[in-house]
Amino acid sequence: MPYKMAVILDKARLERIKGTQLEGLVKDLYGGYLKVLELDVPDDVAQRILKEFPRARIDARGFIEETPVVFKRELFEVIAQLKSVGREVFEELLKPERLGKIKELAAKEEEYLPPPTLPEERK
Amino acid sequence: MAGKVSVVNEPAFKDPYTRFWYPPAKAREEIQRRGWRTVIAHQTRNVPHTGHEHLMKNAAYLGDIEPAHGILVNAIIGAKRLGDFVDEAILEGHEAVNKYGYISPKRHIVTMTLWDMRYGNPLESLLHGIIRQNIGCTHHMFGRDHAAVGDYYDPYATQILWEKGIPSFGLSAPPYDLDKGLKIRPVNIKEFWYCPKCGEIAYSDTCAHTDVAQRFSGSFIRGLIAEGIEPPPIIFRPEVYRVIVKWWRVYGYPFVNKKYLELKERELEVDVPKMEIPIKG
Repeated sequence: MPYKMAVILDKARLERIKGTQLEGLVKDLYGGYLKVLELDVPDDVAQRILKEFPRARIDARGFIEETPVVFKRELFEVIAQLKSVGREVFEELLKPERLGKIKELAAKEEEYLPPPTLPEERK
Repeated sequence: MAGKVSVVNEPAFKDPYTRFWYPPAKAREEIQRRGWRTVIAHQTRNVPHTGHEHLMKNAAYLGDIEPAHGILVNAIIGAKRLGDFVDEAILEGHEAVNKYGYISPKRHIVTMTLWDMRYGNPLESLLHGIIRQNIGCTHHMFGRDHAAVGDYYDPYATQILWEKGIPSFGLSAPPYDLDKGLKIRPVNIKEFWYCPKCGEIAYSDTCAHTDVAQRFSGSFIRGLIAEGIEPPPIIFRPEVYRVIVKWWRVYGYPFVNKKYLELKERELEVDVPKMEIPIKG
């Protein structure tokens, strides 16, 4: 069964894909408050992600969620680099060297994540 | 077990837990003081998103001759799975819902029960029914995936139990319809989603735009928060998000991790001194 993954696009990420074919794939979520790129995840890839990241899960919508932040960040980097949301994105992302680095950073992430600065705290 | 129950060492709490501690007698007194005749319980192990808020508001339309007088949030405080929200954020997040008027504090109260989640879905819902009946609730809302983990159970297993019983569990009828069964009544609710066509949060059995409906996902929201993105107000109240950030700054992490679990274990475990129990012969 194919699953999905969504990558949230903030202003900086939207700027990075501006003018590419990815721009036409941007979806509105929750009345346009959020912009996302959705990727189809073939079953074998989904199983691999779930195996590599034990806390990742498939939510009620059929989306793979709760992957480490660094995984999502790298996912966007590969999408932007390949200008694609196809299977090749995951093939690149799950290459041993890249995956090793992601897992190393993900382990640290489980101990500490920097809290965000709230808009009212920004000067 | 039967007979009179005595608490041998009542737990002592520090803030913010103190103000949410309502053992059964105190909870019933509070319900009486507020003049609530009907009270609906909301079980939670989550910081509320607006889907939860709509669940509470709409479930509370059921009462007896008028909508339920009170909504009693009863948060499960104790060991949880890695990645769940921390206990303090769950309690203060729900409190923010009434503090900032999304549900009037005249009609909404946040309490807690000390319990390590077992994620037992229908079986755990029986325990929830007993606890909430003891604290004075007349109704209990049950949504999708009640006390669930992953897809181990049918998403609506708990609702099936409370609607017609589950014979293989030894319950041939709903818990309120059995001899010496519970008095508390269920309010089974499906889910709320955002419908771009209706332009609002809609009930899944009412809105027919299933092809465009955008379901709420706690996992998705947790992912958003972990990435440092403030969820939009239509799915998450800004004041609730600020509660999460407050406790994120305390623990260096917004969710339960190993460090947090170890800390909680030290704080919440109660060592009972050795007692001589007289045996009546």
